[in-house]
This record gives sequence, structure tokens and C-alpha cells, in this order.
Amino acid sequence: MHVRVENLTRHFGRTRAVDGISFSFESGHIVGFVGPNGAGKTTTLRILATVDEPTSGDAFMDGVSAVEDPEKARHLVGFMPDQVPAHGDMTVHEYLDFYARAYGIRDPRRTQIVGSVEEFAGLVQLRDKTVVALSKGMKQRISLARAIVHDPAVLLLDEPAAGLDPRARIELRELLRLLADQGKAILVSSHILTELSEICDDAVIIERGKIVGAGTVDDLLTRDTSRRLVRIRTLASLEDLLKAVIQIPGVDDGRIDGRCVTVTVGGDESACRTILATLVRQGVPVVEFTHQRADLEDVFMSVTKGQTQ
Amino acid sequence: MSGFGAIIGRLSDRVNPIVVKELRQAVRSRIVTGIFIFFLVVQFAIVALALLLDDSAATSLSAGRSLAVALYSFMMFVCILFVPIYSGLRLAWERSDARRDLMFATTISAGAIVRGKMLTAAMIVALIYSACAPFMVFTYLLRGIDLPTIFAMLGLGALYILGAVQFALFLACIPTSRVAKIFLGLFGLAVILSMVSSTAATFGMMMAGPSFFFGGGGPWGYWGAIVSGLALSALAIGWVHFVSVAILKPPSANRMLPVRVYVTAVWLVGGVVAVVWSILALDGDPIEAWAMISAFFFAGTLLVAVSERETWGPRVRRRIPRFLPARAVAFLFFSGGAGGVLWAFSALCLTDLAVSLAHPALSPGWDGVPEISAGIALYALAYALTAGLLRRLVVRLGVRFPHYYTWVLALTLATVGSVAPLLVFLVLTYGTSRDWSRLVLEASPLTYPNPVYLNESAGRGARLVFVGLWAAVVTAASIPWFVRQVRAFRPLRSEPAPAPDGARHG
Repeated sequence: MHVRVENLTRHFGRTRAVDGISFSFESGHIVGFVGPNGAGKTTTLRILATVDEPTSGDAFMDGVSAVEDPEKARHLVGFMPDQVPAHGDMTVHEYLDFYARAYGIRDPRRTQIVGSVEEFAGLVQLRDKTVVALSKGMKQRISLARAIVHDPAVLLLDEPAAGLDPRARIELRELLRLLADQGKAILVSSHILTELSEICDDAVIIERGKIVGAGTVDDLLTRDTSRRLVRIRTLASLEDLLKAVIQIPGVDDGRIDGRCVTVTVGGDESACRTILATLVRQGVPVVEFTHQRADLEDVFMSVTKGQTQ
Repeated sequence: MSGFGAIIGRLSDRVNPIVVKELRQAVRSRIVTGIFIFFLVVQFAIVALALLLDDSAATSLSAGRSLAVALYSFMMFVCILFVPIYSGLRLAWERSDARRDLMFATTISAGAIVRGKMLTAAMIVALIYSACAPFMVFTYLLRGIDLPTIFAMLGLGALYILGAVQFALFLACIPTSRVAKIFLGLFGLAVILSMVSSTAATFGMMMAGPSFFFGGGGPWGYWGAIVSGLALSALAIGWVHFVSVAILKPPSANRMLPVRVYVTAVWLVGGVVAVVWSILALDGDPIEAWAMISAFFFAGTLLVAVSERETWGPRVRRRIPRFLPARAVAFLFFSGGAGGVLWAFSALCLTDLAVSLAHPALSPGWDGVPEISAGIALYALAYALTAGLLRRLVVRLGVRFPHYYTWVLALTLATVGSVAPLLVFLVLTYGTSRDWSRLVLEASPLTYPNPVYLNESAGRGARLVFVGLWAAVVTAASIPWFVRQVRAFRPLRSEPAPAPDGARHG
């Protein structure tokens, strides 16, 4: 499965919620869709799920257009919105059974599929409870179960981890990895960037409706190689270390960070080697000198300006 | 699974998923249960009070009729308000932009959604009827009403309720802003309330016995009128159903095809029935009714047609026939502005032709029905195409004016054309003794843009010449618009292959 988004644009009056974005992803990959509030993430996902229509542009799933052939595209896409299920007065089983029927799945296959989806999402014990009576985490599970009930090749998840406790997050992460291993192409929007960097293969960063960064997560994390963070620990006073290190050529910035000093080095690994050699030559008792790898949050902060529309 | 279980499973698969879901929810709904119990209690109270308080109930020849009127009025009032509002609000809520229900992102078809909602409403009506029908039938035991009338009333009532439900669903389907939806809801409520009074009037006429429709005619006229009323209501519900489904379909779909096929079939069958009825009854009224309904209907359709799409995406183009004559027919029936205008105007012309041919044979006393029908067609064409021309002119000047709002411009033009001359006249003649009605009677050219005055026999010929010339001019000016669409209406040559995409992002 190859998903391709082409020049997607969505205007709400004068607001350009999505402004000509293009990207693509493949089966077996989990793609993080990152951006501040109002960046256009939900709008993009809704268009891909055929819940909304773009002002212009299109999205294709193996060549099937979400605009021209939404009915065909719906067979291929499972969408988990950021809202909890709306039909609170139905039981979990009735809810999943309705969506299985709506996708045209007939008995006895439907009974079998609904049962296995309930098992996959850990809902077997809750199948006879009404949706409204469940916790947010359980509702998220129901939402995920609904999204996969017709075994779609593409999964679109809008803030799936929002409001979940740490255990539920870990479980969700495992479920998503399992689904990706089954060959599904997964696009996940989230604010919890540390979570995303752990499970995503790729990331697309969007701000004010435009893509401001995209690529594999490794690529994004190492892209800005001209600046790196180095963490230094010493047996001597931290203030003395900071004074010493800040004067070494190549060090742009520094701060005391708990029991160590963190400095920003403007240069490559040889610049780091020079700094360490200088400190040792000056007799500073260095016990730790670690290159601190940037995370998705740092990348996100460096490429976005925090603007909303 | 046992054989019986397998049969139940297969039957369950056949049931519309919306019906399954909505009925599950309705059964749990306190509102529905409450209404059902309320019905039982109130009807029991009405019957008990009528029997206990009215001393003449046992001897009166109209006690059954009076009680039936009371029970029926109560049932219809509550049903026609509650069921459509319940169904319409639910669909509007599910379709609201902020909380669009995910069933619209499943593979369930637009038709199945509307049918499912209608079937659910029908089930709720059946549930309410199950509480009311026994009380209604009981009135037969008192005197003054017979069983066929009771069942006809219940049938007609159910049709009215389902008509109101379909209308409420239609309004709920319209994609518009929240404020506009509130206005639409108020409009819908007004229409539904008028249906309550119309039902009461029909019921009153039914109680009055054979002679209310088409003036007399004994049982033939009585039951003919009831059957006609039922058939017309059912056809109108069918039309609103097709339009609702068309609105729910994605914009890329060939939305108008089922609507036009349905309307054409109804129009043709209606014409044949009207002709046969007129010949059998030696009366031109059925043809006249068919002609005038068709004229008004297709005139309205022209305004919608001129607002339709002017280009076709791959989805529709894949369906365009390669065989030229078939393509010409498809051009009239597929979604599209020029095709829609041609389709509606052709139907108007054929209606007028039919009524002109039938005129001398069946109804020598008609007061200009063929001329009025022709006039309606020409006025609708003239206003619709003028609006289309103006829109394209405005767009060429750089103003954003989507084609789907052309009907608003056409209606505005018609209003201005009809009212502006009157206002100018009133301003110019303020304080003098000249009055507008005299100008109408004298067939002044100032009154020509107003189609309502076609009704006046004075100057009808001049009005027809005026609107005929106007329609001819705007049609000639719209020829490039027609030609452009005829040329663009071609089948897709081959499936576009997905473009190779080397880069993952960007």
C-alpha cells in the first residue's frame, strides 16, 4: 500500500487550515504527524478518511482517490478520530457490530471478526457494557477497534494517546507496532513527541497548514549536525567548569543542568574532541563527557515557530 | 450454528445496518418509551372521558365519528411533530461538521443511510400505531364511522408522517452553517405544522363523505380522490428521498442521474394516467392538473439545473457512454448544468405540446392552460439563463461566485423583475389616482417581467412574445456555455496511472 497526499489544501473562509501539503508513506511504516494546535493535522486526517473534502488537491491510496472515489477509499482506510465514540447508548459489542455491518461484513464472518477485534483491543470483558460507562482509555480502545474492524490497509489515528495513563500508552504503542508489522500503513498525529519518536519510522512536521520538516525519524534527529548538545560532569565545582568551558572556542552556549553542565557545540565531533582535550589539559577533573542526542521534541521546537492560525 | 440460526443470521444480514442501530438506540431511549406510554395513557383517558361524560354516546349516530376525530387529531399532532423532529435532529447532529458521525466514512451507501432512517421512522410510527389503532378501531363500535374510513385515515396519516419525516431528513442532509440550519429547522417546523392542518382538513373532507375532490362523482370521485392523494404524496416522498440521497453523495458522484430518471418516469407515467383518466371521465381536469404541476415543477428544476457543475471528474467520465446517441441521452440525465437545463426545458416543451394536443378534444373550456404552461417554461428559462450569464460575467471580472449559487441569483432577478417596476410605478405616481391593477389590465410592458400576470388573459399574447424573445436572446448568448459542456462531456480514454513518487515526503 502506497499512500500519496498531493497538494492538499483546505480553506475555511479565509483560514488556510491546510495549505498545499504533499507527502507519502508505505505499508509497514508508522508515520508521526506532528504539529502545534491548529496546524492542520486533524483536517488532513479527516480529508484522508473522506470525512471532509479538500478545497483542492487529493490523496491516493494505491491510486484510489479520496476525492473522486471516496466509497472505494473507505474500504482501504480506518480512521480513529480524536473524539471518543458518539453512540454512548450502545454496548461495546453492538457498536463494533454496527460498524462491521456498515462495512458490509456478513455473518458468520462478522461475528468472528468482531470477536477477534474485541480480543485484540482487550475489550472482551467489556463487550456488554454501554460505551458511555467506560473510561477514556477504554473508549480509545473501542475507537481503535472500530477503525480496524474492516481490516483496512491504512490507519489514520488522531491523537490516539491523548488522555491515556502511562500503562495504556505503552499498550497502545505495542498495538500499533503489531499493526504495522501486519503490513498496515499508519499515520499518527500526536502531541506526545517522546512517544512518537519511540514508535515512528518517519515523521511529518506541519505548522500553519504547511509542512516544515519531513523524513525518517533518524534523519530528522541527525539532520542539524552543525549544533550538538554535550553533557559534562566533573568532580570540581560546576560554576568553575561552566566558566572554563564557555571560553573554549566552538562552545556556543552553556548552562548548569542539575549535577552537570550542558553545552551547545557549534561544530562536528572533532570540535567535541577539542573541547574535551582542552578541559583535560586545564586539569578539570572530567568524569563524564556525553554527546546528547536530540529528540523529536528538539527537532519540533527548532523547525516550528509555535504559530497558530 | 443451527439451521434456524443460520436463517436468522442471513435475515439479519439483509436488514439495513442503520435500522439495526437506530432501533437498538430507540428501544433504549427514554424519550421513545415515554412517548409510547404517554400515548396509551392519553388515549385511554380520551375514550374513558368520552364514554363517561357523554350521556348520548350509546344512542348518538355520530359518537364514533367524534371520538375518532379526537383520537386521530391527538395522534397525528404528536406523531407529525415528534417523529420527523426526532429523525431530522438525529441526522443533522450526525452530519454536523464538528461531530460528523463516522458511519459517513464507512462503505454504507447514501441511499442506505436515508432508507435506514426512513425505515426506522416507519418502525417508530408502527410502534405508536400499535398503541393507537385499537382505540381508533374501537370507535367503529360506536356509530358514525366505518372501518374502511378508519384504515384509510390511518394509512393517509402514516403517509403524511413519513412525508414529514422525509422532509425533515432532506433538511438535515443539506450541508450548511449552523445558523442556516436553525433557519432551515424553523422553516421545516412551519411546513410540518402546516401539514398537521392539511391532514386535519383532509380528514374532515373524508368524514364529509363522497364529494370533496374534483367535485362530486360518487364513490369513484371519493376513492379516486383518496387514491390520487395517496399516490401524489407517495411520489412526492419518493422525490424528496432521491434528492436527499443525492445531497448525501460525494460531490464527485453523478448525483442527479437517479433524481432525473425518477422524475422523468413519474412525469411520463403521470401523463399517461392523466390522459387515460381524462378520456374515461370525459373531463380535461386530470390533464390540466398534470400539466400545471409539471410546468411548475420543471420551472423550479431549471433554476437548480443552471446551478449544477460545468465539468466532470474521472468518476463521472468513466460512466459516459462511447456510443454517440447514448451519450446524447446521458448528457441530459447526468449531473451537469447545460444538460440539466436542456432536460428540464425539453420536459416543459413536451408537457406543453401534450396539453396543446389534448386541449381541443377534451377541454374546450380551458382558460389558456397551454399558453400559461408555455409562459411558465419561457420565464423559467429566461431567468435561469440570465442568472447564468450574469454569474459568468461577474466571475470574469474576478469576483468569486460559485456555480452552485446561481439559483439564488435567478430568484433575486425574478423578485427584482417582478417587484421593481411596481415600486418605480408607485414612486412616480405617488399622490395621483393611477393604480397598478389598471396597468396590469391594460397589459402595460412594465408588467411583462412578472410571470404571475400570465394568469391575466389580457395581454397574454404580448407577454408571451416578450418572454419568448428574452429567452431566445439569453439562449443565444448561452450557446458557448452549452457548447463548452457538450465538448467536455466525453468518456475517459484510459485510467490515469498513479504518478511515480520517488521521494517519501515533500
